[in-house]
Amino acid sequence: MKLRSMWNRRLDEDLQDELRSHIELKAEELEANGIPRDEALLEARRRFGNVTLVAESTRELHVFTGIESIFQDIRYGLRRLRREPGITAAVVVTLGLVIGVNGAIFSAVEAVLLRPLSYPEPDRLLQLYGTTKDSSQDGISIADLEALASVPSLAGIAAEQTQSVNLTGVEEPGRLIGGFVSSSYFGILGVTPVLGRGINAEDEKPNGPGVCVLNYAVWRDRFGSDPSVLGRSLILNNAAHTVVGILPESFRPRHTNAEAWMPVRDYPGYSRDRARTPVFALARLAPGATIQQARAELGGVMLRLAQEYPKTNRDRGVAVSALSEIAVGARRNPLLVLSAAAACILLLGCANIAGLLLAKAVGRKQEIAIRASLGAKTGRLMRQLLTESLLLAGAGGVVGMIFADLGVTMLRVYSPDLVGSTELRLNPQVLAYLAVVAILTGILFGLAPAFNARTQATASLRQRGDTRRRRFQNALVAGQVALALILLIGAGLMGASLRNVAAIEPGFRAERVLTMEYRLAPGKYASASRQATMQYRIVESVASVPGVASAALVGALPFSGNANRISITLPDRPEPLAIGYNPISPGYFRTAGIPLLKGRDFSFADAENSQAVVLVNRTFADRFWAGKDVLGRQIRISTGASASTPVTIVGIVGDVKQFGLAEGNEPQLYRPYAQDPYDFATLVVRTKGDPMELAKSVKQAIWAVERQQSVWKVRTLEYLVDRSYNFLRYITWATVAFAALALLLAALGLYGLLSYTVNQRTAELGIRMAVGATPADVLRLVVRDVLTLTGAGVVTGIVFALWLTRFLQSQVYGVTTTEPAIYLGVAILLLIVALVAAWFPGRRAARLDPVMALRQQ
Amino acid sequence: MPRPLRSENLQGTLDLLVLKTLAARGALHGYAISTHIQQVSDDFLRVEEGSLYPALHRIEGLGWISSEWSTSSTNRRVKLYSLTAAGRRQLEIEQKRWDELTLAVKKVLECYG
Repeated sequence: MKLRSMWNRRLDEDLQDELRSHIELKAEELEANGIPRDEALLEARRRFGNVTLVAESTRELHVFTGIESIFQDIRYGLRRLRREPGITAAVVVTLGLVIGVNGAIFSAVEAVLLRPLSYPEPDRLLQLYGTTKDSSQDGISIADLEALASVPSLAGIAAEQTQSVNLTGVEEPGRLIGGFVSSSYFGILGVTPVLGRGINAEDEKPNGPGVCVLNYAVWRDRFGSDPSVLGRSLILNNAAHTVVGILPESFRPRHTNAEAWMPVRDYPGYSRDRARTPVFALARLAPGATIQQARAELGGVMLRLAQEYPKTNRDRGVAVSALSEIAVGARRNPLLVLSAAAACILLLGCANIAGLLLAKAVGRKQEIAIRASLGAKTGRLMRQLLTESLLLAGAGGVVGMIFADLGVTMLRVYSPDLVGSTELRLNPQVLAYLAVVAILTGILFGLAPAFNARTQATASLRQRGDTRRRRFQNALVAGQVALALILLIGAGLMGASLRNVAAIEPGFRAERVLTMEYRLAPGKYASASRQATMQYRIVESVASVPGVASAALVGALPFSGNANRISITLPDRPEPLAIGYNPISPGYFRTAGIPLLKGRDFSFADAENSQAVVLVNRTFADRFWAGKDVLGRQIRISTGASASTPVTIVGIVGDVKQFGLAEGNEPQLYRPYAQDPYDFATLVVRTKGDPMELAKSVKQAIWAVERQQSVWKVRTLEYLVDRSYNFLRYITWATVAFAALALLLAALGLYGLLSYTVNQRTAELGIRMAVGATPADVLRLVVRDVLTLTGAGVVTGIVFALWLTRFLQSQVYGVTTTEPAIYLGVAILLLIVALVAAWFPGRRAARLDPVMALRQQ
Repeated sequence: MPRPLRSENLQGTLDLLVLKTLAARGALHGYAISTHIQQVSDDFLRVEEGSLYPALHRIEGLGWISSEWSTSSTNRRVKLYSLTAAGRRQLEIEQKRWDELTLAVKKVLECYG
């Protein structure tokens, strides 16, 4: 109130002055007629009447841009909205839904795309991979990395490798994901430990004391945030590591899932042999340097090394990419697609509400005409309507916040792959976004009725305004149909992809298979053959567990995310080839249900000193010796800088998808563990009953052989396969939910418009019926309207969909984005829904009593 | 003398009268406008202050007239209203409409002689 009086004081004084001068002029005139001044003034006042009343009524008509009138508008608006609770509720819920959907998706966009890395100057961080002729994601040798560190465009470079480590010496052997890094690592990221220190140069020296730095979550969950953990010794991979530091809680690296950090020399695969490429690298650009410069300089160093060490470095290069790119990775496209879908929903909701308010505004014709004739300026009328829209938008925004929160929870629970390790929440950025969206939608859907009010206020009751408005309403509904069609086509394409992917055979039988991973403590076994013996003893022990049909080991289980590659040379090709590789125990193919196509399986007779044998998959055989005899052929497997082992192919097995159902088939090679001992293994157990029920006894069987052995990732193979297309499934269901919402909104829009039109045309329809039109004729009229509107929407939608779905290309599988069946199906579905929406108003029209209809007018 | 017609019964007509007055007399303050209308109509049209000032402010809001503070011949501070270009156009429109209306009414009344 204070604000209001301040704002208007000048205008008020102005008006008071004017009225006072009027009275005084009148008094002057009376004075001139000989009446004494005092009396004249009194008489003038009497004749004028109530000054306050005049001032009041003047002020009311006066168009203030002031806050007072805004308050008035708001009060008036609230009154109006209360008077029509049905429409108000419909608008607020619709708005809440569309704003909520956008808020939830935006929270994911914000978390994943807009702040992918929580480090200082994240744009300057780079990820480096080694490249070979066949692979762009190879590792880098330690010696090469040291040579690369000197380029001027980099401020720092650090080795980075991740591998599970056994945590023993605790009650139940556990597993931590180890991060093996150079001492420069945390400095490059710009992370300072909250307790203790990071890894320093001293720790990196060979034979120095073992140290480790823990992530905050590990410290909290495993050690109860106990600060005395600093200085404590943990047995990691069978060696003591003193805890020297704890990383801050905010340190949640998106590009790695490491939990316990150790110097790179503790990496079990660490080697200074140039032929071995054990690590990847993280780097920070020097101030002023660009990624292109870094790429050129690093490439130059690799070229020089290739000339210097042709044996090991021929064709070796380095791939440089922004770390944020890797952190965002494959999530970008699906998120953009979902954002676009959410934006469509928002537009649709706006069109829907605009249509509703427009129809309502027609009911207010009378009111608007009266207010206009009373002198309300059209600007003021428009503002009144806009205020109402904004009030609705505000309420919708609040409801939207609730829906957004719900959506975020759903994203977190049902779509962990989409958001990864990022914490999703309605943070201030998301809330600000919600507020902006709410206000924009308020203006967007408020504009139509407001402009309509202007037309009505100026063109009063002229027909022209009506026609224009009707055309606009039709366009709104056709637009809704078009938007719904686009979303439905998107959902159809995603649904078809999901169906296609789910139908792909993985190449093995996943049902009733239990899997778990373990790593034999590196360095614990005196010789490789002892290690292999231990692996086979574990399988044997597990196979004897009651309820187990068969058991076997594999190095990298399909769909587990693990994969091995190996370098081989074929007799007629001197160039080494990097191909997929797995060490297995005899019985793996039988246990996993992979068919043996030709030759023989491995047996326990394939031992360390017997003939070196391998099995290849069908793609391997077809690619290198199509149509020729493969069994008995010899190939060579690289085992070091120059050494290679000749091995003989003894069998061909079926192809197996390694990473995902939608992946192509790659050549694969298998060797028995006995001939290539390997500390890491995935246990594969085919069970007679429910696999998870046996998990405990299988673990006991492992511990019966090796008491202190960490075991992790206890899951079924079915779960792994199912999880592999979770991402596609979530995107599909999100799109389907959006499309269903769109369809509902469009149907409601159509229904609303038709109901209104039928009411408007009551008289016309009555006349038609009076002169002999049958109810069927009337129904046909309404249906014709629907078909015209929907048809226009469908055609427009198809044109846009043909253009827009190109962006879906990378997300669909086994279906083209222009698939005619989907377009046709969606168009038919929309027509059916439109006809259903039209049915009720149509029936009402057909049942009109002509006499009543005419009298009503 | 016929009974004076109060301006509240002249809804819509007051605008025309104000515009016409300003067109004929140039810049005037509110009091002068009301006395002018009263005098010219031989006291038949009496403009109430309660209608006049809201109307003036409304018409000003529509951009048909503009106002400024000035000093009267008796050295009094007064607010003078004058016609704008838009007001001149509006006057033509309203005058034409009024002529049509009176003509039409007249026709109806004279229909049966």
